[in-house]
Amino acid sequence: MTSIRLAGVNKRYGRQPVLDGVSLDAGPGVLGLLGPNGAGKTTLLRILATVTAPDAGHVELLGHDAGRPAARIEIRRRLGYVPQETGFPSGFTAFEYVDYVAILKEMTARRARHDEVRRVLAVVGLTRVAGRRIRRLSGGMKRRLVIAQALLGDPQLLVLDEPTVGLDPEQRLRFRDTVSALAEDRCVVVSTHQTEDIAAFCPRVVVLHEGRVRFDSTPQDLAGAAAGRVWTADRRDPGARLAWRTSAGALHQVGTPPPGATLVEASLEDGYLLLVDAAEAGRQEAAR
Amino acid sequence: MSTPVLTPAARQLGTIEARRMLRHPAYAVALLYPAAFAVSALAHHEGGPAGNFVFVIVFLSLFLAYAPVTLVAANRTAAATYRRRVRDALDGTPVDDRQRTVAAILGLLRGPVTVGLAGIPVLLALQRITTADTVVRSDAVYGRTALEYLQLPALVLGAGLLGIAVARRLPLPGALPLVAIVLWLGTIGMTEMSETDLMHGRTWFALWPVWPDGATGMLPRQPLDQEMWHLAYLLGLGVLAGIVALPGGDGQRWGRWAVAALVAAGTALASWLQLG
Repeated sequence: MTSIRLAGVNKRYGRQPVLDGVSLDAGPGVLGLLGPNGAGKTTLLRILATVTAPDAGHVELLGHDAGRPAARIEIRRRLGYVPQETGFPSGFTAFEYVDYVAILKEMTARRARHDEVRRVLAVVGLTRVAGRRIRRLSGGMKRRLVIAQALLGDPQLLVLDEPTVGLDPEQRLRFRDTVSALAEDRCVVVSTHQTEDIAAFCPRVVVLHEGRVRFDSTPQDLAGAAAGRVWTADRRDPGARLAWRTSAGALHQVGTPPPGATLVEASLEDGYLLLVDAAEAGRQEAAR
Repeated sequence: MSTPVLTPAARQLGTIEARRMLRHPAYAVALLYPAAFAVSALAHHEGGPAGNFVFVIVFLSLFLAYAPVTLVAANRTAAATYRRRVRDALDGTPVDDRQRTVAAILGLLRGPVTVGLAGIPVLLALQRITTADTVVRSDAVYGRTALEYLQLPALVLGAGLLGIAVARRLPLPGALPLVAIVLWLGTIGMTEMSETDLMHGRTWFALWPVWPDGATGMLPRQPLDQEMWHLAYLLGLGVLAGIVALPGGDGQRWGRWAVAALVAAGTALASWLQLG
């Protein structure tokens, strides 16, 4: 079943185009969204969360046309959304906040709702601090709280905008575990700058750059795009677009290797860097 | 067709909003004013008979502290879930902005307005131990009926609805203080101290009861018909603020304008008739 169907989606903020003809289909599974700052990821996710509407194009979510108000409500009943930045109303405890969102998700049977709130707080490991005021929670705990509210009511579409920012390594692994399990039978869209997250649990990756889809395939294919263009050396080569010294001491270089270079296996990160670099070079060329 | 607004979810949210408004620290801060007044009066052996003194403190607490400060409590409570970073997560839920505003209004009714209503029997009970026959004119207390005291919940309702309207329609830093200053200056400007037992005409346009008179303490009862038109005037202004607060549903624009025009006409009529 197709959970997301976007066709020719455009969005502008003033004169600035943010999304430019984005078309995308997605079904059950985790779709990772990568892109530099300002690529349009957050706007795309806000459209998927029905929080903002596109200027043009068609958005179909969970079989409903998101352009129709009545259909939007149906979509929201089956949607979980983690925004990029989340503020909290003052005075709430962790439990009260998730309970508040649960009511907004039309869970009006009090006992069942409270059971569900306790369940999602347990999933993100916040049971112990459920009664603590939000302002007394750490940044990572607040992020987990936002993830908890998104999990309420067993949503069929999860839209997660940089959900792992601020999580400690253990919590990130737990998050991967949770999302992977959920994605068995539903669609999860994750935007992140953490390429290792994409490599770890996203079978499909989409790269956005300047509002356009530049890549849509598997993480292996993205890594493969850098095959033969990653090498190590002791000194920086002129053909290297980017280079950094690894923990082993060698200089990891990405770009056009010199003859006889010691090629190494390309990672998803290498592929992404080269892709964005090429897109940026293309843009500068077009501007000239 | 627009979705209904008085949903079970809105009702449940209303209970939460009521609790949040009642817990708002603005009330505690505002009640420092009558507390300071009481301490000062005790220190200077002022205030007249004990019954009168207690009544005046409770009266000041309810009418001149609690009711106006509901503007702040309702505004901050409604605004807290309306800030961009907060509402992003909430906007992705099926309970829309209109239902959330209705929930805030329900919270106002269940919380602060209920407290205002509860204040009426308290004032009625306390006025039984007061007297109008005092040595100092300004210490006199003139008892009133429950109908006249209805201005208390009407004030709370109006202040709260205005606070919610400002939160929803003017979500800008400084909007609330600006509105509060305009209201305060407007009310001060309308208030003219009376030289007789009857309040001056212009004072009836003030946004609270006309009986507290800075120069002579509390005035005797005013004509009941004028008091009731003043109540209608206060309620009318409050309902207008409520109409402004509520976001319009699809296809309801003309209906809202029609209701607003009717309420505005009724309020204008009441504001004229209250002059006697």
